[in-house]
Amino acid sequence: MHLTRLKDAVVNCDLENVESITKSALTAGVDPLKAIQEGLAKGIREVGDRYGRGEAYLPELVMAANVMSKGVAILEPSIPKGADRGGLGKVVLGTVEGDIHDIGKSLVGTILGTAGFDIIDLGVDVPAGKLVETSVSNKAKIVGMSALMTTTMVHMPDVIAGLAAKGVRKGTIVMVGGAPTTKEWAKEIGADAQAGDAVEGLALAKDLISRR
Amino acid sequence: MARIGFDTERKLRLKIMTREEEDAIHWASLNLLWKTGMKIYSKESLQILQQSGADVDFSKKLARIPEHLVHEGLKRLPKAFDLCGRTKENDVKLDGRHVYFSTDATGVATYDLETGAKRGSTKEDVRKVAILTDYLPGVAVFNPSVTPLEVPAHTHTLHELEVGLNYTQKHTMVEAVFIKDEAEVEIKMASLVVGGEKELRRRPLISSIMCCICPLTLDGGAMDASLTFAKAGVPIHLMSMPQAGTTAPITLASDVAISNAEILGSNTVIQLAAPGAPVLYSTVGSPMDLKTGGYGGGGRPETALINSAGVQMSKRYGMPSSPGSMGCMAKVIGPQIGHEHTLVPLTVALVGGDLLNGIGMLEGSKVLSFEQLMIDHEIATAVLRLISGFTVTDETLALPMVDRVGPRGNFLQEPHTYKHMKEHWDPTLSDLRPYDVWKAAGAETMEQVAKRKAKEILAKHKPVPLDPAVSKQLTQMVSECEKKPFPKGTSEQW
Repeated sequence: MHLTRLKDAVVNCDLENVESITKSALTAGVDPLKAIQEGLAKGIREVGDRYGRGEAYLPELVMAANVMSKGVAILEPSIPKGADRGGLGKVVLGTVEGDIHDIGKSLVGTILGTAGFDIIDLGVDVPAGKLVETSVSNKAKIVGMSALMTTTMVHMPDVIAGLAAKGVRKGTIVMVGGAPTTKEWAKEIGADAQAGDAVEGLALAKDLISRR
Repeated sequence: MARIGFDTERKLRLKIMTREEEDAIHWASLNLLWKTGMKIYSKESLQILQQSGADVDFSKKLARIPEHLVHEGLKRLPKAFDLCGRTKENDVKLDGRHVYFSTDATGVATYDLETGAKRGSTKEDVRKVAILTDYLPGVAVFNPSVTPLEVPAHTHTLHELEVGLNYTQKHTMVEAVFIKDEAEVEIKMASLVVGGEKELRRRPLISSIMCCICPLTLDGGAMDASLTFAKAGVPIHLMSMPQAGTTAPITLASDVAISNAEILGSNTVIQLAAPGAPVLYSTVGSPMDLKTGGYGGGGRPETALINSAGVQMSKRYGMPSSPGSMGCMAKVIGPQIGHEHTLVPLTVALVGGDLLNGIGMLEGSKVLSFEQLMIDHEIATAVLRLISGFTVTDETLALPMVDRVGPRGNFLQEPHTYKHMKEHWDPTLSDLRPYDVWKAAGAETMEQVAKRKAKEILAKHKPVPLDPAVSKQLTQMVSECEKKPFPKGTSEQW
């Protein structure tokens, strides 16, 4: 019952009541990890699937993710240290140098975060060197970069070259996104994947991780 | 804010004539009705007019209608009424505040949804139109679109009505009827569904089209049938189709005046015979093709102007309107029909048209295309969205939120965005995605998407059926009429 209510709170974008629903689940003794994985996350998957089929609107997906984050923040402190969170690994995100567009990139962060990835979002106008360094120092599994302009997407190959220079290119999945990017572009610059939207990005990220 | 689709509330309003120009059109129409008069081939109509004080010449079938009778007619007409559906949620509110769309009538050919071939139209096509109408929120009224060619010709409107009553809960507009006995059968059929003739008067599930013959002529059978409908409380669309340059002068002002005179004249007869009968003002202008003299189509600027002027006159009289809206001369789905089917409905909606017709047809309403029906529905929803405008309130200005998010922020994650997102137009056929995403998803054209979605709806949507006993009785009534033709209308008798 509690798990269904948690799921429904996300599906119905119930920002007002997610807090009380989550707290009452905790009070009732529901395992916090289970509350996330079989409650909230199940809801976001449902909305994500509907979004992928063109049935849900983007603000709905964003709102559902917000509801999920609010629930997770309440559950987080109750998860025992050292518990297997089923984490999928660290993802370093950023909009490339010279570009300040971040709606899509931030959404990717939210969606990947709710799915179990650990997100390090460097924001916008991020120099290639910073993306590389952050990735290396955090042992990131994925580097995701975004650009909305053809004049800024040209910085993407610099990041890939930087990873190679540090000897971590093979161990790091490189994903690109943003309106001007295409699958052909990703192939041309030697990236591992390109996604047209956040939901596709999540699917690709999970797929690439599972093959490692 | 109103939901987009059914029951759109009008916010924007445009006038295309000054009050002085409106007065001039009104006086010109009164002048025509009194000095020139109307040819009316209905004995009953002429008798009513004569008894009420009109100057009638029975040998010429000419009635000169004085101003006081015209004004009496205007005084008696109901200013607001509903075109009812089977259920109240499907009622079309003709109150001047709402805007709706209907399908069209009455073509004779159909582009087959499966083969793509153009062929003679069938009852099955009419059924498909009814199911799509039942499903699509932006289509509020069912008009049969095409006539079934496989049934005995004298019963085609009955077959169309049978389909409408069975396959949609929305209001059915029946095609022009030219024989009184046929009108009587239709009234019986609709009464059977709503539960009696008294109930039909309270909740008119059907309405009928009375097509004037331009210039200044009323068909005998059509008028006799209309009087029958009027007495039963079935709303009548008083339709006038001036063709500038042939059946009406080339100048638009005169077209509007003549069309207005025809509608005022026919309304006068109807209101004298059946006081308070619900009628609609329906101008469907169609200027001639200057190059050939043929039908020049309903999707041009002059049509928009004539029909909009008609709507403006209807507002003056407080008569609800069903103006010609989507009309086209395009032969194929494409750019031509795109502009034709946007220009006129947008204009007449802005001027205040209540029920906008014409969804789904090519070639001057002769050929049905299911794909075009879906595309027209898309255009209709865009027009409805535009007409509903936007409101200016604290909630919609949202200054505290803007202040909180601040410069260079974005509003995607705001609950305010989620709360109001459904007020925006959400196209179901138009593709807004980037090229690569669209290409990767199959690179469908709008026409292909329309075909696919029409098929999906027809495969899935099951309209709420009538009581099987009622449905069976309707079929029996129609097949009874197939046995012998109706007696001819009065226009042939004298």
